[in-house]
Amino acid sequence: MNNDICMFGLTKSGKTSMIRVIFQKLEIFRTFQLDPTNRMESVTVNLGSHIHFKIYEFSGHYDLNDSQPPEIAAMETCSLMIYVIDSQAEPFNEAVQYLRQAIQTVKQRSPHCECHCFIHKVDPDIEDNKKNELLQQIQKDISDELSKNSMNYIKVDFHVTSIFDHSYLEHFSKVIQRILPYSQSIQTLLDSFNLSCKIEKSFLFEIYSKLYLASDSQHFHSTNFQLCSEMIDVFIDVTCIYGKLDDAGQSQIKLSDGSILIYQTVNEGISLISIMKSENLERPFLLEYNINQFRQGLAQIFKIK
Amino acid sequence: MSQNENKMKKMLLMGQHKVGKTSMHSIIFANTPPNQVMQIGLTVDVNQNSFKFMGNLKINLWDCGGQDKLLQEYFTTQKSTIFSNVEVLIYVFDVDKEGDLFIKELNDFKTTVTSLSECSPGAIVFVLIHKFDKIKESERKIVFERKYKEIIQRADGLNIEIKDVFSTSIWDETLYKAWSQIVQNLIPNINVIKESLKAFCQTCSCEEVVLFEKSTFLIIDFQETTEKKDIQKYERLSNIIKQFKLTCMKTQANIQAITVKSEKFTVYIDEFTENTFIMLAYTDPSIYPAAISHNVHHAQKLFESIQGSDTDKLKYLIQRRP
Repeated sequence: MNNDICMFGLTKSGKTSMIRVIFQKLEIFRTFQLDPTNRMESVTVNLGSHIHFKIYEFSGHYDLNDSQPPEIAAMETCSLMIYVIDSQAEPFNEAVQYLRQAIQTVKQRSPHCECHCFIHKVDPDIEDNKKNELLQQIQKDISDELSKNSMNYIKVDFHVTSIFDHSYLEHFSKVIQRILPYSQSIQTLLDSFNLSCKIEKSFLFEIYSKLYLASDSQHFHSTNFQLCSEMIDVFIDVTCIYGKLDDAGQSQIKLSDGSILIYQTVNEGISLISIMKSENLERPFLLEYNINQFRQGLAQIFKIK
Repeated sequence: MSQNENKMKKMLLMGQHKVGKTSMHSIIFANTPPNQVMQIGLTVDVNQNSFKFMGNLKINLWDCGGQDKLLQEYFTTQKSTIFSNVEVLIYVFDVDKEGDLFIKELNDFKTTVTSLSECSPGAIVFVLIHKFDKIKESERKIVFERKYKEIIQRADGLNIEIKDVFSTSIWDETLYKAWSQIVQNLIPNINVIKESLKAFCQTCSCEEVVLFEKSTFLIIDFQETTEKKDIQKYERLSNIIKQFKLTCMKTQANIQAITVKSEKFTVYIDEFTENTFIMLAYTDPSIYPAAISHNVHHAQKLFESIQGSDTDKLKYLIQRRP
């Protein structure tokens, strides 16, 4: 078993859109024009120079009873399954049944595969109580379906997502972290970095996908994540206009509420973005020293296979 | 004579219905992100919105709903209400309309511009050919030139000045380019600002200086010490910073300063006057952000001690420079 990911879900649930937007930089407004997927398609993902895996995306019409050898081989390498449900396509019976069948098929080939369900297209204009209703309803439907089929022991993690805000990035990141062996070590390293510089929150991002590979143990606030992931765009866009993206760089954004966002290139495609109070940024050389310490610590972690 | 009196400038925004007029000004002035304009409904009448710009400039934007029966009223019963005292008309075409639909657009355009020339003879006209994201990159130039010819021809002979024709889309920087130019035409004493910025650029010895309006991030002016061909980049900056600003607003915070530094360049963006942000770009790697911010803050300090309009402040700054 490698660390690959397989994705299932009915047609037009949003699987291809998410993959294209995250990994192939497709503009969100162009996802409406995408053609349906054929059988199974795979995407090779490289995050920085140390993280490599494949995503196998199965068509919405994929017949689980008719798996060909390459597809079986693909499922065998997967340690993680993402099922995407279109929350705007009620009733959910068909989607829920297909989920149950997909889990059965994949678990046959890869018994330790983790199951994650994206309750997708829960767009920003939907009110919070409606969001909760959807979450509860779908969770219940799935739980009932699994019970009916004596599959109570299967654990499914749920994520509420939309491509129109940062939730898709947030949850895809959290799911990817399940297949990264280093997340815990990097978290410890980030904790000590934060402490040394009086930083409130840090994220380690892969900048092309905007997925975050690790964070510190401080509480996760969506707004912090949003600001940091948007800062990547500012850095990339300005750097592409005035210089080359390959060069190491840094950026700072000062906000009117007294906080400051600090962006620092760590190595190829990997950057550290931190949030702190601007009054704590007294000695920039101290920050630079600690970032170098962080880089060295990270290099050590990646050396361990 | 100081510019302390509030100047109201009337701006008409017209075009057929669903062409994207309301979405456009929501994005530029009301800080709606592009991916939320789908929720904007049809404009049923004329919506007036006022925006403060550059201190004492007030823009009164008349967003005129574009359904046919409304258009008929504008040209007849409401003609003098709509078309009098207009400084700028912005007419929006939908790039996707061809054949009969395009001809109808052109006819409505001609009637609009005719009415305008009768009621506001000094008005200037900007034309936006919108939704260009629907056209393949390779075909954009041809489509633009073809439509441009037809549009200019329709306005021929009328006593009105078409200042410029732009291709725009809400999904890239072309929207910012068009609106920056439109708004620059309304700023009183724009020439004083240009001269002042030029002097400031030389004093700071940086390669590029750009002045942005604070809440829209539209470009007021830019100066370069070396002649560069890529003017598009400033519009891209407007777009980039505005996007980030929108995310900030969710946390009730505003941008105060942005620095981006790499081996080969330093870009420094800071609050400048009450209504502007300034950007300085250096390609000398030895310049430290601290030195740049010192220059800018020095200029700001001079400003703080002066009353008066933004342009007066800038004039004073230039006179004070050694």
